[in-house]
Amino acid sequence: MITSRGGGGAIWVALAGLLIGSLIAAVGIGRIAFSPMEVLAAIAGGVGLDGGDPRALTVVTVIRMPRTLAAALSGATLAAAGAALQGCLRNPLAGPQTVGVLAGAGFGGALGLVVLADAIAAAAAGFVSGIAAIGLVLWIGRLDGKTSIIGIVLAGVVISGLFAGLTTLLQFLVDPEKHLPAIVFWLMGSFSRATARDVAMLAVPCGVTLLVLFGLALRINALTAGDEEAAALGLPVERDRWVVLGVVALGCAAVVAVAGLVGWVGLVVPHVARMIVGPDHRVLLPASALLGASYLVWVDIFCRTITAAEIPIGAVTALIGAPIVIVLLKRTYARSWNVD
Amino acid sequence: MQISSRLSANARHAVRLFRTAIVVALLINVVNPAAADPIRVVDQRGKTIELAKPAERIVTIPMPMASVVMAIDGSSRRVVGMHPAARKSVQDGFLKKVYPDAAAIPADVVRGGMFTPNLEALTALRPDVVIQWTEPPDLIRTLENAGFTTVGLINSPPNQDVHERNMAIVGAVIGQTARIDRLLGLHRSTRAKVEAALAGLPPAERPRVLYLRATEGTPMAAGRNTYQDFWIGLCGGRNVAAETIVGTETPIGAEQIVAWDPQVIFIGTFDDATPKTLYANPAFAAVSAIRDKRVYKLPHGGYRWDPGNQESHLTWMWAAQLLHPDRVNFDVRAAIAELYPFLYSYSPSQSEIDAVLQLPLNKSMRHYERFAGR
Repeated sequence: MITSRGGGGAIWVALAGLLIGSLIAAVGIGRIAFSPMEVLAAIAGGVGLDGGDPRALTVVTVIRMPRTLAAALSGATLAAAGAALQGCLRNPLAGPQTVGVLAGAGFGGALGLVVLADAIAAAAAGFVSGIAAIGLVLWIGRLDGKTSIIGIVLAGVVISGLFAGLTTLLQFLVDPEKHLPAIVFWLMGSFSRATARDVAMLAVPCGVTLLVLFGLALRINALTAGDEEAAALGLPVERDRWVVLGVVALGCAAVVAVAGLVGWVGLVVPHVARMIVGPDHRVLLPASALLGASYLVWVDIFCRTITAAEIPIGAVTALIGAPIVIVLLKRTYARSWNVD
Repeated sequence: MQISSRLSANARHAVRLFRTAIVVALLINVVNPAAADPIRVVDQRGKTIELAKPAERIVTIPMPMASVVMAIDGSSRRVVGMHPAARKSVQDGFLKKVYPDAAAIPADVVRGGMFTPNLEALTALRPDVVIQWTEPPDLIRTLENAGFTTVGLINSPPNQDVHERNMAIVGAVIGQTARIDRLLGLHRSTRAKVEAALAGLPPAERPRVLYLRATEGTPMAAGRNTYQDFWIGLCGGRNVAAETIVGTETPIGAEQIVAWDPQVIFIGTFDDATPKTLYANPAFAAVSAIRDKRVYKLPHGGYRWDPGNQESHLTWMWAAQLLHPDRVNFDVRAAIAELYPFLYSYSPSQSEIDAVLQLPLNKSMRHYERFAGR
């Protein structure tokens, strides 16, 4: 049986403190250097008090705060989703990419951007095709009335490839001057366009995803032990796995709609969190969420501050993620995972 | 005897006349290249292109060159294929009115890349000449390997000298050297006038200028090594993006635009963004250009006024007086009314000039009243 390695309260204080500190830092760091007093005055101005420098007010409240909150919500959702997927599919390489959600939502979002030319419509289209992608993955991966673990992963590869192909076709067909640059950049991932409305749009689906996953932590623990063990405990294995995949699709599609394709977060962060708090999903899921939020906030700071150009966040998460995953897999694969 | 000698004298005279006629005919042949002499053009690669006569069927792959050919030729008949974005410009802009048939000219000449030639479609079009960018080199190699006579143009550095040379080459290819000379004369004299009006401009009086593209989704600035950077400088502005950005394809975050704090923003014509788009975004509320109402959508005439094209001198007249309304004064409407009959054999109406100058989008912006008609 899985036991928690967590050192109790200290770890939660540290993880929560890290996130709060990251959020504060994010509001203070950017292309324009404001003093902490100017930032505080701007925040005070944002809630209706005497504001100070109007430029600081705009930059802090209209630009930095929305994109930082969007990055935090996205990071939390992607990381918790990855942890849940790795658990219920018993696969250390599982992540939102693996089950096709990112590619599916990416295609729908791009299509919405071109055909419907509206951000909300693009978000809805991304959500619909994200759900469609995971639905296809579940349908393909289901053999003989049972959901096969390896079948899901293989189906995820196939469906990701299918939707990536559709997206490429779309890029080929659109007006190369008008739409192509926006789509290309959106697919590379960025929080540069995030507004307060996007934060609100993220909050509901991400909140639902996180709460449902936290609520299912014990069930996910059981699934991690193996389908037969879980069934022996009297748990509805199939139904639980479907619920997990469904809410993962919901949260990830919302993230893709706002920020484009931000890969690797859901793959890397759960492994790091597992090293800190152990494999018990009751602590692993919230720890992944807190860590993922802080991580993406810092990557976003890097992307928007280091040069005058906006660096695509998907490229940075991949460059950081790949070596970390390689190291983690080498060190922990044999120790922490049953190899089927 | 007498008669015969007279006859022979007449015969000698006739022979002399005949000889003279042949010599004159030969001379005429030599001085009139249109008659039979081949056209020799050195393209931007330094390669000499030989044509038996002015090219009748031309495919233009560099975007602005379709409208350049039509303008220099004063007709659309020679263009048998063009880049899809060029055809989009014909359909969206002023040229559709002048050359309604041009909106249906095949545009499937590229495939699988922005400028990658579609060899099958090109073969079907039987062009005398294909005009193509020389960079990267495989763009042109593919065409020459397939047996097309290819004229190479360059876009780097994207300044007026390179652009003028491109247009002169195109003019030579279609045998319209007199018309291209007249057009280039207009460009050069306008440039000299702008430079004279702004001579001695202290660096501190150059306003901070930002050229933005695709503002609807992700804004992209024109940095250095762009034609926009050239004319912003010519017109007395300081391109805020030149220091840190290269080209026109780099996405920019909103905070960077606030940090640059441009005093004037030019919005490109390659997308649907307008001044209204920027005013709707609260992130830009504190930017000087937004506060001072100095945000302008670029005009779109015979081609988009952003990159180098046949109407570039109008871009300078327009931009220079928006940047320096106190120093520079051109009657851009009159210049359009004068240029278009020459280039397109078409006299635009007042409302058509309004549309070219984006008056409906820009009229509430500062200094724009000077572009309004009576």
